[in-house]
Amino acid sequence: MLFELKNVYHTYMRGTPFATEALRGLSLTIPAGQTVALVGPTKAGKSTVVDLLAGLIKPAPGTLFYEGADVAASSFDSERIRSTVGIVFQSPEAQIFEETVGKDVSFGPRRKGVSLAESRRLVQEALETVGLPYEDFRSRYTYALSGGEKRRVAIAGVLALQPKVIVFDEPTAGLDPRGRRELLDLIVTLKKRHNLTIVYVSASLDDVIGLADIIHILDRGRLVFSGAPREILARADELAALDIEMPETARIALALREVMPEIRTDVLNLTELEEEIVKNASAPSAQENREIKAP
Amino acid sequence: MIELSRNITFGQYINNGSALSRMDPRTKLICAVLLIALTFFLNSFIAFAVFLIFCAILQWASHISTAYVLGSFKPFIGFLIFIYIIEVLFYYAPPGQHQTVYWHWAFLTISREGILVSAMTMIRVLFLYYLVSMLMFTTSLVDITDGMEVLLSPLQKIGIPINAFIMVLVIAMKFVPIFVAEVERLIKAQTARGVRFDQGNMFQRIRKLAPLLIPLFVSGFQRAGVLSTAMEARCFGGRPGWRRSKRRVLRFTRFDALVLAFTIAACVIPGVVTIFAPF
Repeated sequence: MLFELKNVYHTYMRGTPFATEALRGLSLTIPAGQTVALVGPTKAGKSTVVDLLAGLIKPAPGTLFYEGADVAASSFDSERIRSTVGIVFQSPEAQIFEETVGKDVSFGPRRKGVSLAESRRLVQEALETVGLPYEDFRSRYTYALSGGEKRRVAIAGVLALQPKVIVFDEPTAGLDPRGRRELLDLIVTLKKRHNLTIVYVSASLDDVIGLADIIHILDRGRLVFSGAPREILARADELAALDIEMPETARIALALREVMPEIRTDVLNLTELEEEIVKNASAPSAQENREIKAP
Repeated sequence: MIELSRNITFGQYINNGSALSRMDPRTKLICAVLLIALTFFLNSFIAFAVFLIFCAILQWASHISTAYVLGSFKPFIGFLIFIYIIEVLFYYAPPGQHQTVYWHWAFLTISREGILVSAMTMIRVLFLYYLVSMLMFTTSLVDITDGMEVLLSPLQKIGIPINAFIMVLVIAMKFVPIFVAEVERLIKAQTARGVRFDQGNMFQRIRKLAPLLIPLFVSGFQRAGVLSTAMEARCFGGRPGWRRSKRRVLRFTRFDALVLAFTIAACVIPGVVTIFAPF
C-alpha cells in the first residue's frame, strides 16, 4: 500500500472562533501503480487530503502511512514523501512563478542540485511528454501562454522532479472541452509510460469514470464508499443525494428509473446505455407507463 | 507556514451576534477614538488599573473567549520585550529629574525611572493593541467603512473626496486576505517543487521568500487591472455630480447612547485618577 490514511482528522484554525473541521475520521488506501480518484462535493475535505499526501500538513489526530511507515514518527524523513510525490494544484497555472517556461520547469531539478546537463535533459523530457516542443517553448514567457499551455507547463514542472506519484487537484476545472480531453489523455499516457501512481481529485465523476481504477467517494471529511467505477455508478441514487456530478449516461439511466425501475445505472458509455434501455423496454412493467419525463 | 492565512487572526471579524457586534458602527468608532485618546492621556499605573476594569466589562460584553484574544498578543510579546529592554537601557531622563541609578556602564543605564517610564509605554501599547483588535473583532469591514464615511463626511464640504478615500481603504483591506492566499499558494507550489521554507537559519529563510515577491507583484497588478475594469464596467465614478447611495441605513439606538455615556464615564474616571494619583 503506497498511502494509507487511518482515522485522520484535521481542523483548520484550531482553537479560534474560526475553527473548521475539514477531515473527521477519514480512512482510505491508495495502492501503488493505480489511478485512484477522490470524488466529493465542496467541503468534502479533498484539498486537505491533497496537502496531507504532499506532506504539507500532518494528520492530527490520526495516522498517515507512506509505504508502511508512519509519517508522524520522528524517524520518518519528510523529504522522502516530498521528493516522490508531485502535486498539480487546483488551477495549476497559479503554480507557475518563473518568467520563462524553461526556468519554471527547471526550478525543481535546480533545487535538487542536479547538474546543468541533467537538468536540461529532464526539462526537455518533461516538456516533450506534455506535448510542448522544447526548442519552441523553453524561452517563452510564462505570462503569455494560453490556459491549457500553462497547465501543461505546470505538469511538466512536476514531471521534471521525477515523482513516483502525481496528485492532480481538479486539473480540468475551467478548461474548454478540448483542453479537458487532451489533459485526460495526457494523464493516461503518463501513467502508462512512466508507470506512475495517479491520485485524481475531482468534484465530478465525469472525468474519472474512464480513468480511475478505484474511486473513493468523500463527504464532509469522511469516506462514504469506494469501489471500481462500475460499482460506484451502480449507486447513482446515493451519488445524486451527495450532489456529485455524474456522467451523462448514468444521469439518463437514473432519470429513466421512473419508468424503468429495474434499469441499471452502471453504464459506462452510450452503447451500454442503449442495451440497458432495450432490455428494460421489453419488460412488461415499462409498457404500462408510456409517459417518459425528460431527465 | 502553510496555514498562513488561517493563523493570522488580527483584525478578523467574529460575527457572534453579541450586543457589541450589533452596535451602530459610528458609535463604536467614536468610542474607540475616545478610548485610544485616553490611553495616550493616562499617565499613572492606578489609572490604567481602573481602565482595565472597563476593558474587562468590554471583554465580557463581546462574548469572545478571553484566551483567544490574549492568544492574539502572542506574536508581539517577544518584540515588546526586546523594545522594553532597549528602552530601559537607553532611557534618557529629562534634565532636572532625579534618577535612582541601579547599574551603569558606558552609555547604558538601568534606573528606577527608566524601568517605570518604559513599563508605562509598554502598558500603553498593549492597551492600544487590545482596543484596536477589539474594534476589529466586533465590527465587520463594511460597518467600519460605512461608519467612517459618515463620520468624515463633513470634510467633503471643504473639498476632500472622502468617498474616494474610503473606497481606496476598502480595496486595500480587501486585498490583504487575497494577497495572503496568494502567498500561501505560491509557498505551496514552491514547497511541492523542492523549496524548504521551514529549514535553514533566519537569513536563509528570508532569502527563500524573495522569489515569492515577483509573482506576487505580477498577480497583484493583474488583479488591480481586472478590478478597475470591473468597476468601470459598473459605472463607478467619473461623471460630474456622481454620488453613491446606501442601501443600509445606520441606526443610533438607545443601547448606543448607553454605551457612549458609559465610555465617556470610562474616560473621565481614569482621567481624573491620572491627574490626582500619586503613582
